[in-house]
Amino acid sequence: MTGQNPDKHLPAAVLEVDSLSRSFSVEKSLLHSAVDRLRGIVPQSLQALHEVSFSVARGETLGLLGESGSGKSTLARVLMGIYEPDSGLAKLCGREIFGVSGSERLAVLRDMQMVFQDPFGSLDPRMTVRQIISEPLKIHGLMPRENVDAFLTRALADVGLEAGALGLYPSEFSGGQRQRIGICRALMLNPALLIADEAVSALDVSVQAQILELLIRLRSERNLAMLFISHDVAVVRQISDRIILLYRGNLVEELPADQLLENGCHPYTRHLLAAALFLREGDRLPDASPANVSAKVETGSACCYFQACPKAGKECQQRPQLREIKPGHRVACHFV
Amino acid sequence: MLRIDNFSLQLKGSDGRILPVLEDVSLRLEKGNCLGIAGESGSGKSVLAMSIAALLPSGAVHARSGDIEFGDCSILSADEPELRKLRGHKIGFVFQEPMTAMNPLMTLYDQIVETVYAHFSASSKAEADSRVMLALERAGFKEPEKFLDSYPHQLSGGMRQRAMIAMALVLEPELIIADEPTTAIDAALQVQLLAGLRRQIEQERRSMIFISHDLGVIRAVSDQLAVFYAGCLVESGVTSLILESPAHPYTADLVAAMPRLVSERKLPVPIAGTLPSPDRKPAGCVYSDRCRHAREECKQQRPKLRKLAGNWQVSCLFPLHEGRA
Repeated sequence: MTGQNPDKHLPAAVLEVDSLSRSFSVEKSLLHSAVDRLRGIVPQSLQALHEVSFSVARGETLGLLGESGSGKSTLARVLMGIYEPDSGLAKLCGREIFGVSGSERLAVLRDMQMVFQDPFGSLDPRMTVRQIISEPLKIHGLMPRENVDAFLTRALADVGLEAGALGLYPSEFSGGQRQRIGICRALMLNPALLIADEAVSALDVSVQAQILELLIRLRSERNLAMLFISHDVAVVRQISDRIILLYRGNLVEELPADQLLENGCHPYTRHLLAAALFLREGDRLPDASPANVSAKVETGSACCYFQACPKAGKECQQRPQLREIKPGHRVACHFV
Repeated sequence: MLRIDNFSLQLKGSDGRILPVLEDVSLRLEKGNCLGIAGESGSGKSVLAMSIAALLPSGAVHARSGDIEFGDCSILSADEPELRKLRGHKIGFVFQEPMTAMNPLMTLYDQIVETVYAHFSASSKAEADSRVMLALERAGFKEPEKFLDSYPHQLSGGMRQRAMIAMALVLEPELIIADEPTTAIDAALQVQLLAGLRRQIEQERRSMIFISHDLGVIRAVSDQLAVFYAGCLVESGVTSLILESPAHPYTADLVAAMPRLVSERKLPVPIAGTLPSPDRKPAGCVYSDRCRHAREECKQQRPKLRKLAGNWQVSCLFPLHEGRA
């Protein structure tokens, strides 16, 4: 593949994220917001990410679990530079991600690539596979001068596609094969970090297992760091080394993946596990059906899970800090 | 209440090819029961659902044979006015993608009440309103009045799914056909919706056909299971029995491909190869080119559905077992 980036070998952590926050203003018509301002009402905002900190080491897969609206995709987009963060720092291979621009930004981005959820929407239907997988090389000026086809064919073979695919269009492939094309494109620059945002969620289970197998092989062959984002507890647990759980933009628990089932202890984690165990293993559902809380209700300084939590007490008016209860296991809950 | 006998369907491809999308399908569904239909995309499960509600455009159908009987109506020979009475009123349909199945320019109330007036043009507004509210409550809306004037884009994904379910429930149909109604939503929300649907079936003695590629979801809602592969019904019977010990190798492979949540972390086992397109099916058993147990005979002849124990059926020359009660 392309030449190795020398300084990506230096730091142990490929990605370090420190207190990352991002909020969105809640949409209102121009007139409404003008009236609000006259009345002195502060415009409402939705805290999509609240002081989230974590790191991913070389060769490690960090699973990011959360339901829709938990801030999973916002996190991926902030890291990729699609949204600006409100505050917080992030380093990729020791280099600042935010606040840099131009060629410097391009150089940082080269080490971080993304695989998207939708195998149909994420590939341009009017580009051939050759164009799709060579586009990142062109953007970064890394197109080899000779033997381009041999180079591209090797890249395709790496993700289990045949050379004949080069001249074809995305519509000529199945969902699973398209996802392989998306993975191939993400790997063309030989990144240090791969962000997979619901990369297998749209696929049939039989194909899902194929793609998971591929990601695991590529990870070990290339010592890739991976941020694997999904709402599927079972899938995340299988593929990850460590797992972080987001609830409404807050990191509520972080633990080794092999301890999730037995030792996951935040009330939200247990709630998510109960639902997943019901669906995956046919376990009985707990009787108390969880409260359905609108994401738009602000929790202010209280715990983010306060309104839905079966254990909530007086203490929970105060937002709990993440604290380490065992090496590698952090929880944000007063009752743990 | 629903009988499908030796139903086969051939569609016309856009390039004139003739595609055998369903072959010799026989199924039964009793009142108060839920039949889960499982299979990968392209296995023919949605086409079967569309055939039951006679929703396939006639121009796309090349040939069909066999019988589909709903109550005392034969779907294949019924005329359009008869079918119109059936759809919505007797058979409710929950479609896969709420964002495209709903009209973006109509409020939640308008979308749902439309069905009521289409079937009961003489209903009073009060009567229609109460039907709408009841349907929304049954679909799991806690305070439906708050959302009546909302447009689809103003509802969350889960609410749109519930709105779809309300649209199917509003005329209190005897049969609900739900085509992947909970894909792409979170486990917790899925559980709520599935439990709600299940309650509907049990309390009101309705029947349901629930289509999904997720066997876990199917286990959660269905009593009976039918597994499809490449347009063929490969195995059917009691859901819990089949999932516990599948008789058809394909069902077994599908179970093994499911990500599990048991103590030991083991990766799901992929099924090598891909589903054949309808015009490139193997000559023998449709699964013979991917099956780990396939023998020479499997490549020669297509096996017929045959009975194991009870209502357990399998179309395999060498099933993994001969049925367990």
